[in-house]
Amino acid sequence: MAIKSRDRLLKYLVAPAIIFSFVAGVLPMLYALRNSFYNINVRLPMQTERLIGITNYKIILGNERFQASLRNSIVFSLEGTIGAVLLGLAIALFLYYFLRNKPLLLTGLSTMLLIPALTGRISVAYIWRLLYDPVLGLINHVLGLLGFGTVEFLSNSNIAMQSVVFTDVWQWSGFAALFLYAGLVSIPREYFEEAQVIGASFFQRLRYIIIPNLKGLLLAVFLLKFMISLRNFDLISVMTGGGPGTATETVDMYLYWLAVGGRGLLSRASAGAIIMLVITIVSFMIIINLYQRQKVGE
Amino acid sequence: MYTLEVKNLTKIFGEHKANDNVSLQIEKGEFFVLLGPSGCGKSTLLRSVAGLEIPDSGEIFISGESVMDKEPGERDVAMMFQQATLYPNMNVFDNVAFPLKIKGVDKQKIEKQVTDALELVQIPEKRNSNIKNLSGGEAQRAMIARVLVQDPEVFLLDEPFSSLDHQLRVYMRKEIMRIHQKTGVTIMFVTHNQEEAMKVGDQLAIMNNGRIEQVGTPAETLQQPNNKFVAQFIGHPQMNFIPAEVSEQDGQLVLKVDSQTYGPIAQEDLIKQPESTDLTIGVRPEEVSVEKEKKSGEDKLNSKVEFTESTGANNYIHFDLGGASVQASVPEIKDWDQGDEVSVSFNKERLKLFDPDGERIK
Repeated sequence: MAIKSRDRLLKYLVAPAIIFSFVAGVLPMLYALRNSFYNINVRLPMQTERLIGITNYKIILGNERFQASLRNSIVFSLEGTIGAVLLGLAIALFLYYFLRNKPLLLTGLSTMLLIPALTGRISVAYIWRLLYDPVLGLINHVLGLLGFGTVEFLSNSNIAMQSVVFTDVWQWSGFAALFLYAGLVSIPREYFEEAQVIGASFFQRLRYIIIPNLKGLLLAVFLLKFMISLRNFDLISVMTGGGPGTATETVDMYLYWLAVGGRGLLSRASAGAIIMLVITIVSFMIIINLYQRQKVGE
Repeated sequence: MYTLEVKNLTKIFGEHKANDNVSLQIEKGEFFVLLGPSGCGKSTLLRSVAGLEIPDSGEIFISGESVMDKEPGERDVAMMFQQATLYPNMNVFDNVAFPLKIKGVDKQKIEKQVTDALELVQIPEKRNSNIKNLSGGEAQRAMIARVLVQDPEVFLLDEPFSSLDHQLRVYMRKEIMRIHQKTGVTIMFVTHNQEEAMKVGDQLAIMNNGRIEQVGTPAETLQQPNNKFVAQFIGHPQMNFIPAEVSEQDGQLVLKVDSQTYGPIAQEDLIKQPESTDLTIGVRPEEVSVEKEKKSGEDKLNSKVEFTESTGANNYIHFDLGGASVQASVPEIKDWDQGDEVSVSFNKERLKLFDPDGERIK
């Protein structure tokens, strides 16, 4: 009896969270799914809603600007994620090899590494927009002092995407580093000492001991960061607004423009969002599946 | 030329002297055991030889060559740790092959050497096993195989069997002796288990507080301990220590225990007249002979049985002499009862005398 009533209490306690995520997450998603089969245009509120089947999907999949934005999304997320994980690993190794026995320095540095991740995305975007500014920016100022010409970081379409990716890497690599440092510390010290006596070089240790022992954690950090990167609207909209032209326009940016900024094609944008959702879920499932299969095979 | 020589090695951790001016020599093919209680610095010494600790002063030579400027990987030593250090991301074969792979040995040679090593440690059928599926003994064997393939000048074994249960430990001890005999490799073996040390070692170094108290064969350390620490650390059951006072009587030296007199003792036992007259007698339980009832006369001390004890194979009675509890081995436990009068004498030739600093008077 007591256990039953406690179980019921637990259900009541969890209920608000579930109801909230349903109302705020699942319902809009279902609503978007529904809308994607209609012909809703927010610029034409008087137009009668009509079911038009998969027309929206056909049109948007054939749209070159959507395809380009999809490519941009993938490039931004992959580069940002790989960059943050690799740089994070490098920082974690630095902390492990040089600062492990200096707790004060380690604590101070860890806090500093976390600050970018704790700073709001919009703030980070404004800070870096300023840093990159051709006239007022610190970076161009320093480049000028070193005798280089002005670099148009955000308005040169060849490097705008890389500039935004760099900001993203800057924001998240410290965060990744702390995760990976915790993983490094948990590898038994004897593994390293054994390798030392055997005479393994740093890169051999990295390849045969560190990476294999951190594999699970690396994947977790990778997925976490990838999810963060896919939601990039705030960063890109402040830094470049998708420009110059559509050079940094990701799916988020394009769909926003489609539904709100431009022609008011809410249904078509919904179809695009559903496509993105499916791509995300499928790619995550593949990665996790591969990892688990490998784990079983070990 | 010694295979391994340590000269005046000192290692300090903060305030603590882990190794205090330690010197030792190990001959080729010797099974050398570092024995001592926890925290005596034996593992630190071993780790210094491996290059995992950097000593504050002193020198280490391997095959006559100083290795102080060499990285651990360049010292021609192989080490086996207390914990299992097989890499979980590799199977048994890859673990054993790992040192060879690092050195860039070609594949065919690796295949042959690893196969031979696995044969030698008798787990050839486990070559493709995941190390998570190995029993404690198999994991130890795989680790020994990994040490073997490195073919080093010196094996360094840091309490390799201390995490195993008793039966398996005894078994692995025999295994390592078998492998030592077969390969003739030089071994430096750290343990805190005196029984293990006595059984496997050609030479023992008994360490205490960062210093080597004595180096010798197991028999030497048992029969001729340098000092009280070694006498008490080596041998089971422990040696009895009885406080006594030395004095001269009719031109001969006698020992006074309580108010009773024991002696005379041979002059050569006390060639060096101790500055203090307070000594400690050291005598092993099997060197104490006891008779029922009070007896007086030369070399007899009297006491009363406090309690008796039997391990099944061995029987002991305990009594008090000079304020110390003394244990004597007896053939039959049923002959003795609490409160029985007992007359005690010692095997005089085996009797040890220690000065107030704990050094044996030779």
